[in-house]
Amino acid sequence: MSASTTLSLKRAFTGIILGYVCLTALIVGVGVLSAQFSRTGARKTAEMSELLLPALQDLAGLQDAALRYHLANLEFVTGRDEEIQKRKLEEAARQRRDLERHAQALDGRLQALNSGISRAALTAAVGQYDGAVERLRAALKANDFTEAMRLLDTEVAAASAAVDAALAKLTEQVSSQALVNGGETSAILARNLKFGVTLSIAVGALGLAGSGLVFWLSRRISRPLQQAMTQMHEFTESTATASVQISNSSQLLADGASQQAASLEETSASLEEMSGMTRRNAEAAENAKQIAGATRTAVEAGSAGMQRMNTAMEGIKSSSDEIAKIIKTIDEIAFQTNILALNAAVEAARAGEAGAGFAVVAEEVRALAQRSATAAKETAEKIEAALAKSAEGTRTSAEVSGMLTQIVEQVRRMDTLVAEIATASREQSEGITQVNKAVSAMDNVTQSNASTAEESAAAAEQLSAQSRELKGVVEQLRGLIGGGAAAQPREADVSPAVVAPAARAPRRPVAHAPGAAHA
Amino acid sequence: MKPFFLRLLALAALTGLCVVAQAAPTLVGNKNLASEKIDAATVKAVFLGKKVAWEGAGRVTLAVLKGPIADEFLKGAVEMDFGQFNNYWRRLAMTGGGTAPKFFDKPDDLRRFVAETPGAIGFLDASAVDASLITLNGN
Repeated sequence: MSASTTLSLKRAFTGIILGYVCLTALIVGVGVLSAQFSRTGARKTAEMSELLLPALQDLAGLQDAALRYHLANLEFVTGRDEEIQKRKLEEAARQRRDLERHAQALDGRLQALNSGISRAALTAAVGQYDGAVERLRAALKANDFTEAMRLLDTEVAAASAAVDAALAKLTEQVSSQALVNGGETSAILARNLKFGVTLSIAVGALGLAGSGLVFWLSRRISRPLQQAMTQMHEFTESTATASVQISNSSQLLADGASQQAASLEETSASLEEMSGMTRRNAEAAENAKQIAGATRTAVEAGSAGMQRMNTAMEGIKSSSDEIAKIIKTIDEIAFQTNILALNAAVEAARAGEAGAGFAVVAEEVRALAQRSATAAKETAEKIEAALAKSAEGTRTSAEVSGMLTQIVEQVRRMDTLVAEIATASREQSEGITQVNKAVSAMDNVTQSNASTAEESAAAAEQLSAQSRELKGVVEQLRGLIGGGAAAQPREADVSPAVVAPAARAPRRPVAHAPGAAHA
Repeated sequence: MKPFFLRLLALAALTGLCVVAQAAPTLVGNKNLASEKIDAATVKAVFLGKKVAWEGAGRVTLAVLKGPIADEFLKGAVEMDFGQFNNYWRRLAMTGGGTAPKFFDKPDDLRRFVAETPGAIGFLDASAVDASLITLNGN
């Protein structure tokens, strides 16, 4: 829309507003004048309806009451008996009161009318009539029927005629007043009508001219607007397409992020499993290290015992040697004893009979010596065997001691190795924990990525919907301006792609923080 | 039974005598009525305004004396009391049906009026009748 169009628009609107202001002023003027006329007319009408017509009504009532009053008086005069006469008298009094009431009402209205009409004549006539009737009654009371008849024919009749005449004159006056009033009212109405018709024609002509101007202006304004609408329509179309694309991409992104998060969660679970295994390894290595230590201690204790056994064996060997020496001494003593016994036996034999007893003892000693020598010999053999065995035991224990030393050496090396394994396992476990933490952080980031992607998808969808609504608004505007025919074609190419992602929005529940078990 | 009935009859006769003695209305008229034939029917017609002129004595003029005597006379003549008679004549007179009777409070006034008015007819107590007027028997 160019500047010149804007300017001309502004000018056009100003012109229209000015025109309508003038028109409004004119209408207001017409209204005020009409109201003025109406007020005058209404005053006249009110005078007619509130004063003149009621006054005529009062007059009618007055006439009626006067007639009835007169009639009641006449009926009283010709009353068949006292009861009827009394009733007629009462009726007359009532009608007289009625007459007075109507007269009072009429007085009020005549005063309000301020037209100079007076009921003085009527009052006088009624007074005259009252007097005549009074006299008539007196005459009747005095049984003076002739006088009564005379009064009836003259005074009463004359007074009644006077009352009728006064009433007729009053009625005539009020009626002519009403006629004048009606004439004035219709004159005002006619003037008002003429004025109203003239002004209405003027206003209608002005309004027609204004409408023509507005129509022309609207034709001028609507064309650039229509162009702008067409452009806007195209923009809306492209915006809708773009927003659909954004929505689809966002959805893809959201799906990818979701998958990534799932993989990360799996990884996290595997890592946790590994961490548990490593921890168990470290614990096993620690246990093995303790067991190796205990074994080494036991082996060292065994080696010490072996050495003590060696010493004991050595002691046994030296004791056996000493015992062998003692036994040799015993053997030598037995040999010498044997020799001595032999010498004694010889000597006993030489002494003959005297020495026979002695020869027996010497034999016995000799047997003992021989038994002792045999025992010593056996013991020596046994000791010899013991010695040989203890020597073998010493040798064996030396071998065992050597083996034990080797075992101790191996256990010590194993201990060292197991300690190294335990240390390595611990370090590995710590490393895995750190890896787990990192993965958890990654998982959080991925989750937030996924939700962000979903939000962006939703926003894109909203954008798409809004662009659709905008399109509708543009269509409406085009319809308003009058170029709606070209706006129909593409309606179905936007919606389905946008609606679909909304249906599948698998917001995965946020996973528990992996590695929390380690803390 | 018989003596009682007789006694009652005697009482009634006595009462009647007493009334007659107290007020005995007598029909009187102007002297020009002497030649008129006046019977009970004529009296009734005259007093009810049905007969307004004599045969030869001109217009009928009625004169009525107010008081108890009027009741008595009017009962006998037209079967009305004074009030009824008055209302009858008021109605008749005020509708133009006849010339109303002249009413008098005093017998003397009536007597004078009847004596002076030709064709006049009225009633008076028997004691008030004099030679200025004639007595009509009305039978």
